Amino acid sequence: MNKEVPYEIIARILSGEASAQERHEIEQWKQTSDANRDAFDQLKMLWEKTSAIQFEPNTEKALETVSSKIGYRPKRISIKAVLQVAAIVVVIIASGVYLKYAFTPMRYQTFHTSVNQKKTIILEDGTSVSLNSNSTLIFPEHFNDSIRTVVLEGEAYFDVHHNPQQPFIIKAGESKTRVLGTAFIVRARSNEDEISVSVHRGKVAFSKADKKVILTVGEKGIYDKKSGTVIEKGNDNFNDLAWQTNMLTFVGIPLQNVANQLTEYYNVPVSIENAEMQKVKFSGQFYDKKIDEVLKTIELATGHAFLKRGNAYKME
Amino acid sequence: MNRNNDNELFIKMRLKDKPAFDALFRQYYKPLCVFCYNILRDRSLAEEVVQEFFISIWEQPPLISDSVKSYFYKSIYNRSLNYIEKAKTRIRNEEQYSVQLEQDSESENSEDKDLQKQITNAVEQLPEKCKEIFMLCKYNEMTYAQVSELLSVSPKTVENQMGIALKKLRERLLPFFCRKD
Repeated sequence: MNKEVPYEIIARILSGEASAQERHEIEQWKQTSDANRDAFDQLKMLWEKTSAIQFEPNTEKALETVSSKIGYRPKRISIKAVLQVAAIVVVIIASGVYLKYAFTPMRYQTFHTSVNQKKTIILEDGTSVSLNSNSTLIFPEHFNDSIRTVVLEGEAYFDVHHNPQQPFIIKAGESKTRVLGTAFIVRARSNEDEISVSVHRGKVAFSKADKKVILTVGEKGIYDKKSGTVIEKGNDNFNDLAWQTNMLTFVGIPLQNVANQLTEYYNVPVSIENAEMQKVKFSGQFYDKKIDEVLKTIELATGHAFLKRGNAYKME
Repeated sequence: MNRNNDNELFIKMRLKDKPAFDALFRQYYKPLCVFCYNILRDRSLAEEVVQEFFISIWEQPPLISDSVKSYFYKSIYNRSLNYIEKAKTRIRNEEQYSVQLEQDSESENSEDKDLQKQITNAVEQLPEKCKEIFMLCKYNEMTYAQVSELLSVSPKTVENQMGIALKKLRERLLPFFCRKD
């Protein structure tokens, strides 16, 4: 047996990892002797033959099994269903109105925004929901009588239509936000450690299981996913709402934080590299301005210039 | 492209979007079953493990930082190992004879003339780590980088083990190659 078979390189070739250089080396190695060529052919055959061992599970059947286990029963005609249909028919005949929704299970709609996309949806109760980028809202086609429930992943501004008889609940991650009628922002990004609610108008109850805080205008509730705590604090970042109002406000904020907030708002990297400048405090307000205009104002105020590299801005 | 699509499906799935769940299931069920089978060597068991996994992500959707694909494979990998651990204890405690039976059937196989079966058998007899790496690269068509991430070993280890696998397989099968010629 030839001890000098370069098994590792041949393995790389067979599994598609090899470089052109390596393939070339092996070609040459094959030419040097018949034994080498045989060895390569044997390995190649071995490799190809192994792929024939296959396992063909029945995906659709498995999906049916799994679906029924998670509560999505495959459609079967049961006596109950027949009675339900009969009941719907009776009701429709009797009342002539669209009561059939009372008998059909809740159906949900999904709205999703991609990166750099924002979308506003008006729900059937008049509540408006503005989704920030990369967010998803799930809501029933029809709310039931006692409660309005929606599910959010990402960030959204809610302006909830006032109705004390029918509270509005937002489920985001493990948190729940319960409101009567108000405007606020919920931020629940799966890649962040916190879920937060910032109130713009009215009053909101923000909770995780039995931990609950009541928030009013200008306050922010934060649920820390790691520690499982819910805290309440004054909102020092005025720009939670900026994506909604196009207004950026900074009141004595360190430039480092200003840069972070600009990065988030404009979705363009802005950084302060100079350690001293990071701590310099900045105040200013911008309404519907382009990033260049904002940065120019900061340059004038601080006497330091931003350098543009690609699409990123840096103050050195 | 595909990766983003998976992430989007996963987000929707977390929000109880059943069609998104179905799409992920259809896309990953078979490859995950094959992957799991390669570890557990039992088809119905592999299907059971993968189905349980899908039920669990529906019922308690996890937050993931990896790509969906690598999260799925890692989870199935861990679940398979857990299964083996449990089974080992069980076998040690109760069913000594079933191990015996399996070994018997293996030795029957080795008398089989079919090259295909010989290869399967030879792969079966590779050292554990070596077999695992070979299977991931070969059957699951993973790149060396993906395998090294999944098993938390260096890319160099993957490369060495692949070389060792080929060497051992060839040595074991050499009599059959000769007979063929």
